[in-house]
Amino acid sequence: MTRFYTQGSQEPEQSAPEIHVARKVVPAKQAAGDPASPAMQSVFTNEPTVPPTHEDQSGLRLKSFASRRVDYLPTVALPTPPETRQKYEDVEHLATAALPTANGLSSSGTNLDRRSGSGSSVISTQQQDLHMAGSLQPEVMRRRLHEPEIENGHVILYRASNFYVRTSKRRGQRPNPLRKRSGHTALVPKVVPEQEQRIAFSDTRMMPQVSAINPMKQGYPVPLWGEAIFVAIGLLGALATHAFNLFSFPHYELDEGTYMSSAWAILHGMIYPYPYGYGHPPAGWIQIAAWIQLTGGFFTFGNALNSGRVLMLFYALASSLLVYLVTRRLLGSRTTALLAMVIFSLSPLSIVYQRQIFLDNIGTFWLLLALYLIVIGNSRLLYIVSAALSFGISILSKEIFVLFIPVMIYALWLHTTRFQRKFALVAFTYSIIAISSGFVLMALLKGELLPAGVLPWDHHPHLSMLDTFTQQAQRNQSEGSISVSWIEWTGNDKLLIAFSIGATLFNLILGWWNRKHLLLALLAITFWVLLMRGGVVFPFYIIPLIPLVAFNAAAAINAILKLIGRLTRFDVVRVVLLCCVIVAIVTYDIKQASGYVNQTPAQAQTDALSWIHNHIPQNSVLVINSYFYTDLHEEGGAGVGNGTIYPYAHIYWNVAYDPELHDGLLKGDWNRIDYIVTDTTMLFDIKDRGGKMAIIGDALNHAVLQADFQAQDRGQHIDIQIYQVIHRQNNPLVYQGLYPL
Amino acid sequence: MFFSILNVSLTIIYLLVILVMTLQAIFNIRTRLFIWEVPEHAWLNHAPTVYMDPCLSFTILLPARHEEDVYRETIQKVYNLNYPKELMQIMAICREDDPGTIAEAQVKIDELGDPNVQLLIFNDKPINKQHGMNLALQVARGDIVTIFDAEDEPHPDILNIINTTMLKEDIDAIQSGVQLMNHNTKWFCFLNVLEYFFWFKSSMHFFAQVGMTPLCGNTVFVRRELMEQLGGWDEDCLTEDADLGIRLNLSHARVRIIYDDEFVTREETPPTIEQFIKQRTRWNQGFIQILFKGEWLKFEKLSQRILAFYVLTLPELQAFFALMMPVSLLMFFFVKLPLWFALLTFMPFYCFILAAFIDLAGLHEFLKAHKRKWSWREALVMVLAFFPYQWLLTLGALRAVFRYMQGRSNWEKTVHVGQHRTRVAV
Repeated sequence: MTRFYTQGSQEPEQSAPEIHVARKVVPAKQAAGDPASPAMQSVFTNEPTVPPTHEDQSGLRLKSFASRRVDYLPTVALPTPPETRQKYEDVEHLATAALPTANGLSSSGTNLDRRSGSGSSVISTQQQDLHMAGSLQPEVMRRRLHEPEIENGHVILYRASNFYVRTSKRRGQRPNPLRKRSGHTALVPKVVPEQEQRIAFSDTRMMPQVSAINPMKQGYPVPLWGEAIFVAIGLLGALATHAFNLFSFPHYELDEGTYMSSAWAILHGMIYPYPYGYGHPPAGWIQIAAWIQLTGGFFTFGNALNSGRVLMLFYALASSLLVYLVTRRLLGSRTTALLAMVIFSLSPLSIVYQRQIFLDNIGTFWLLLALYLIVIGNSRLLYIVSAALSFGISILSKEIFVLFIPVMIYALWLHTTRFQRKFALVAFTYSIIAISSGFVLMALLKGELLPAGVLPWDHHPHLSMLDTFTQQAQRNQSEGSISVSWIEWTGNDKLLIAFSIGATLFNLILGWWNRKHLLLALLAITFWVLLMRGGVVFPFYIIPLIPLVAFNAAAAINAILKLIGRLTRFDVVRVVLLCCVIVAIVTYDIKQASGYVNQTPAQAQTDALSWIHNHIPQNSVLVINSYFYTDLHEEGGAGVGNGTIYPYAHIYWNVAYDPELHDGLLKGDWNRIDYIVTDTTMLFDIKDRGGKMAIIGDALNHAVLQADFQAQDRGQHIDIQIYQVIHRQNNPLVYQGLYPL
Repeated sequence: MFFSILNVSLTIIYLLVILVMTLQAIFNIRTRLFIWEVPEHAWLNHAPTVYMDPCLSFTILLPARHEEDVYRETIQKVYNLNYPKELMQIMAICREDDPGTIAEAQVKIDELGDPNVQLLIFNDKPINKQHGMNLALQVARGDIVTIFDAEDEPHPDILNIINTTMLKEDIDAIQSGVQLMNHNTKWFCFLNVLEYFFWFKSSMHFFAQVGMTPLCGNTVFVRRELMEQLGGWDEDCLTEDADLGIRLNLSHARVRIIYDDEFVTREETPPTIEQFIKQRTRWNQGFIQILFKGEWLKFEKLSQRILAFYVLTLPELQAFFALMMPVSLLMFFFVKLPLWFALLTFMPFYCFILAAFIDLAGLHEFLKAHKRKWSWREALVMVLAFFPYQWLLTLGALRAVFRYMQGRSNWEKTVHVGQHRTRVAV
């Protein structure tokens, strides 16, 4: 037996532990294979009133703690050797004193009562009992084994070979006389009275705030297929109006050619056909390049720009669907959503601009997708991060969408629960900024972030992002003024422009009470700020504004009509009035657009392209505008057929300002230009700008008109002229068409 | 020829490493943000507001070794928990060769005078916490067994919460929240505190959803019969808590995690960097032991096994990534990579920055929950401490691997000085 410390005080003990305790320990100790338990068991089997079975114990055990005090102490499981028994100095009350009666425990209980309360008498009786115990029957002897062992004032509860458990002794406590285990009853857990006095430590707490701004509202229970039919009709209408004359109206713009040629460059391993100036991030034309790959080449739809226009058609349809879905969820009304879709798709401005290959169309689609994901997301982080990704792609398609970051953050703020807001905002904002910064990172990695010469190891001249940005910021209204654009817009669709101002203001005011209207108003206002900033504005800059105006108009009209509906107490009135509005707008739009959608101005350009193919030798130096570039540089197209490409066909802007072309290819000599294919704007630029452009101007002065193609595009007259430069004599190399690069 | 093959293979390996780093970073962020993923998760951490009457009994184990400074307070605090004393059995566990702590415990026990506050003294090997607890398990009487460490400050109502939860829901084990409270005593405390914050508030719920929960060493409440059937704690393992969690999951026990900011058990960070690294070494070594023990291979679902492997090897994985950083910096400056490749190598960097921002948001949340003041200076310190903290963790992981290979598995005990106590006592 190992030694244990003996320490602590010694106190006379008044309390009366009972032998009942042994029973409590039995279940646990049974599991441990306690050697004493059979002994303990046998003790109790002598008494008829004792329920010592293990199974009962487990049922009672739960309740055994419900007593007022611990009347029992877990006893020793192992028999203590005789010598330690002699060490008792202050012996607890021995329930074995109940021996005279063979009734066992119950009478021992009464004996307890008799004994408790008197100090010295207890001790004396205890000592008597000890002596009595000495001459007792074996069962009684064994009962004594369950006395708690006391050492220096500490009760040893349990002793094993390698550890023991001790505690302090109880201070004077009368056992409740009613608590006698007869074994025929099951203890009911008692509520301990002191619980009411227990002071709750915690304050009243708020529930987590998880209510969303915009739960899904259901109006009349229209079946999904019914709604889908209306949406399909709307989309078909959009498809019809957009696809009608897709390839011939309007004429191919300069920007369209630029982006198609950029897509061509991507497919040939470059970022841009000419040195990349970071004017726009490349994600837009990367998507066009992906589309080209998907549709099996540039010329699946005619010439290169046609396939680009088909892609724009799809983006427009998808945006139209998104406009419907966003309005549907945001405002809760299907008819209003239909109205928004109609305003968006059938506006003459949409019909003209959404079919052209502008990065704005691509960016608008991704912006609407981001808005859609936020609005239907129900505050789920997956949707929120997807919205951030989508918005990031939008920014990488056209950089002006950076302006929408604050208002998109506000949109997210509205659509997340308070509980998630902090982390959702962090994840969203960071994702947007991270994706957008990919553009800057690209410039950094290519060493073209800062202008040449700023960094000490940077000596060769190159384009830089910073230069381009300062240049862009300095572009003033001389290139494209807001008033010209304004006339163009109002000429096409007065109603939309009126909505864009009126409905926005209405929503701004209503937004004081209804935050969703405020969001829509802020979206439109953000873009108006861009248009009104005093810098360059082209007519097609209105593209991102069109869906925002559709939202605002639909929201404003819906709010007004909802008021009327409430006055007449019939919501059907609102729906009917909305349908009337839809019909009115449709008729107005069709009327406006029918004036010119029959025109085929692009035909002039296509004809010019085939003339080039038929009449101009492959190795000529051609000065063209951007819309011919892809067709002349890619085999199999309208400009080339199955022949070889025109490797020296270059865009006039780059001919003038790119040193590689101006000084490298042409060596500053206009004589080396063979053909110039002009249109009105190009002629204006050539004649007006001077400077480096003079090389083309000079060549033009020495050129003769060979072909002329004209067409009418709304108010604008399209005039494609092909000039052949008459070369100076003494330059026989001209006719061989061999030029060192 | 050989050189080009080597070049290509190195490039592919590098690309794979970058990919794994990005995936690990994104997964890390996902587990950290798990609790904020959907609004319904708000209820996961919500402790019951109405308590049921105390019914279940508790055995509270307080293992201690050389804890003379704090032990008396600990026993007093545990005794003061709002719960009927008859339903609590508090067992202080000491070893025979630690007279100081034993004396402290005995003084407090005598002062309290309640026979349910007991002191267990053992004298054999192994000399560790688990052995004492296993012995205490033999004399435990309560329905639920729990552990509090010597430096812990449990919330007074914690037993009521556990009682209510166990009665209402049919569960076998509850892990309640543990939170380090001294967030600004040293520079590494911020991130240490936030590590616990995110771990218990969010990651543990993710693990519970998968079904693989490595538990914490204290404030874990397990039904006593289950504990006995499982055979108690593993005495050879340095992180017996994680091991217990895995074994609980293997036996299909229902485990519930509750982290309500108000009811967390308060702890303190290690007082010095040296202690911190020792603590981490111990944890990492324990994880390695559990990894090689192979119990986690018995999980039924592949997702559970993968998650177990991930959690057990995470310190070493993070150490490897932290060591990769200078390598990638070198490569960035001296090796010419194609543009798309170079852009890709920045992705882990972006993820780390996102993790830093999430940590800032977490700091704000933590301060708000515990009604402390936000300080921009402290936020700056935390941001600057981000990478040095990773290096500390790397040191801990490397040291653990080294010690494991050497076969040294003695318990390097963390010193407790009650840094968090003086704060809260005000």
